[in-house]
Amino acid sequence: MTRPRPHPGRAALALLVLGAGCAAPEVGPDIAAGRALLGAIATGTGPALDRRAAAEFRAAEDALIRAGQPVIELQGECDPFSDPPAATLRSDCRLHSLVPRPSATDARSTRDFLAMLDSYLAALDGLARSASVDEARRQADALVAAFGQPSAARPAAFEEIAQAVRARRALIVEGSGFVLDQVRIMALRRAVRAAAQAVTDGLPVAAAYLETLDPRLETAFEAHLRARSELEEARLAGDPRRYRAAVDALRARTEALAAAQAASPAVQLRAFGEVHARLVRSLRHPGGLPRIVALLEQLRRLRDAIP
Amino acid sequence: MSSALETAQSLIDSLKLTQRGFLARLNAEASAARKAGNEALASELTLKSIQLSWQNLALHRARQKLLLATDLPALTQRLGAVVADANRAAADIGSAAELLGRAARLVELLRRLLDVFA
Repeated sequence: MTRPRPHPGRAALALLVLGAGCAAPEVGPDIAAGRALLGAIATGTGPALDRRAAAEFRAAEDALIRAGQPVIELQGECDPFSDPPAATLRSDCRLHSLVPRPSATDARSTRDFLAMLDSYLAALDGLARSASVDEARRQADALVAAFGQPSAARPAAFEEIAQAVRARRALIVEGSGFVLDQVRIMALRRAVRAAAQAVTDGLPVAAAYLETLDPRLETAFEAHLRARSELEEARLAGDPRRYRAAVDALRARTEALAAAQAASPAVQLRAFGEVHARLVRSLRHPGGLPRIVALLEQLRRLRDAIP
Repeated sequence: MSSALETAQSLIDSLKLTQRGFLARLNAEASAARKAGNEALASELTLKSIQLSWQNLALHRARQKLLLATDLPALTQRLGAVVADANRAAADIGSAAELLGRAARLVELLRRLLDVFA
């Protein structure tokens, strides 16, 4: 029996709606831009952050020591003469810190947050560039090929299944890829949606902490404000030499302010926030046209494969 | 962050926003006054704008102090859960491809067996 073909216009509309809902946006450049910004921040502030984290940790230990509280405890087997099992060559003796986890922001928590941001982008990158979808198509193709060429010598039951599988080769191959592609896109959307609030809330906090490590921007801004005031006062004073010096000073301070802004980790983190917001937007809405076209072609192959 | 801190922070944010608009207007008015040749007014407006920027810096510092009271480790933990979920999804996709490969090898083996006994 021949099934009635759907109206071409209606079918195209259905494909378009389906395509718009499932299209994978081009997120690779945003992820790469975010990682580059994080790398620059880590290079610029990493050593200072490490030094501050070590100092803060020691200060927290000192506070416990002053209060006579426990600071560390030993964990694992620490007596090498207690006849350890033969398989154990060395004891697993280790020190565990009892310094409580900070409930506010410090160097360590800022460093951990920045490291987690990098892990988050790496996970998104892994999903966006996953080669597993293409691999699934290859394996699905191999599965169909495994049934071999038709042969009358084989049992009829096997050949019946083999024939059905061969007849649906395109559907099986494209279907496997399509389904996994959708799983990937959904996981990508879910991850970005779930992380959005934590990223939005955390970035200004990390930026505020990094500013405490590097006050150059504030210093440059203060100097700029003073130079602006001096310019007005010098002009009103009617002293050409003072006025000349004030003009030169404001020019220099404006350049210094621009340089401090470019180097500021807080400004870089704000740029990271912008890139992430773009990522959230691009995953909320359908992706770029090339991707939608590719998806429509994928859908068309799927529909054509249905016998 | 406690609700008192949140209230203080949003108050500072709205103050900064108002100041930003006011600052832009002062600078524009000063520029217009200078163009019109009213140097006295231009100078007065410029000095007011500088004064406002100093206040803005004080507000910025207060906001930074409030931000540092945020429980950043809790946010890191939330991000960690997202990372684990994304990695799990990537692994699941990889497993599905692997499973298809295993099924292909199994069918191939079965067919060869049938061919041997045929």
